[in-house]
Amino acid sequence: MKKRGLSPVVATVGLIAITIALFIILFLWSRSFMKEKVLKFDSPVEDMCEDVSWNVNLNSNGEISISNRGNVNIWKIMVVEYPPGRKIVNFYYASNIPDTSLSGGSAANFSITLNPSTKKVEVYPVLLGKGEKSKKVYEYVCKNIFEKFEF
Amino acid sequence: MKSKGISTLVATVLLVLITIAAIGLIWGAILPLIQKGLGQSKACGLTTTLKINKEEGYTCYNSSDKSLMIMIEKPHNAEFNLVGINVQVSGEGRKKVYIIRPDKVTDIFMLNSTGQWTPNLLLPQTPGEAFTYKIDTGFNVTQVGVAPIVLYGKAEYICDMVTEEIEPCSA
Repeated sequence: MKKRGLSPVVATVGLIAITIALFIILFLWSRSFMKEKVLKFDSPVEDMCEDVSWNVNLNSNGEISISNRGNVNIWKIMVVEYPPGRKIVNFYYASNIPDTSLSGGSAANFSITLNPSTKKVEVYPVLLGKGEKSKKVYEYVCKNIFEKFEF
Repeated sequence: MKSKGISTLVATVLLVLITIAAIGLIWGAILPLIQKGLGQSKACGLTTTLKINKEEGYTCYNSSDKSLMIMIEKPHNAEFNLVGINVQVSGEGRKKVYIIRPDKVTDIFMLNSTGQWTPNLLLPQTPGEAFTYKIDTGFNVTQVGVAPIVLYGKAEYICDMVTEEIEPCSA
């Protein structure tokens, strides 16, 4: 009797090819959920936050003066203010000049606008980093380094 | 002997028609389902959630006027286009769903910058931002859940819900 159907070799190769194709599809799909690692000076940007050393003062005229005592450039600052029942987030550049970072050893003023009923203000440094693979520029807020002012 | 049954030509035409009908069915019914599922998983990532802020003391239940105050925050690492908030309140064996949307007139109020309740609603768009809303529920609330309604492409998706226990407001 003549045998019909696929040979075992073709069937095995077919199964392996289907498995590899499925694996590639799953891998490419899952990659869209993964966040790219952001680096600064070849280290994870979150590690560089530990090297931020700064003096922050909130002046009576509503200006924040910051002196950068470390060697990490502060790209801008994030100011979180707490008026009753609200939490407002704003970003400010040094001397209100966009794309001007506060380099290590320098000082600058940040003109901010606060809500009159604000009870508390928190100031966070924002660093710039580059995507490990895409080399895209990312802003990273150092959430564990902040100065708090209460009124 | 005379052969019976349909001719080869008719059988081929029928098979082609059945194949076309099957492709049409998959295209029209099954593909949108798959696309919706894929869109949901793309729009609602791991960080596509909202936070119920209980630290500032603005999330509580007021038993005197049977209203719920809730402070909803967009977390710091959240990057999504928020177009609404789905709020699910439960208590006394009841459950009710409210939608907070700036483009819809509702009986939900928001605390504005001067500390007044206003029907003009805003949503926390900047990561880290939070607003307090007041909802007249009409019953004692013990638990509340919030889910973001996000715009992804041209479609809107309701993402994962975060739930918290609610305490009565202190006098």
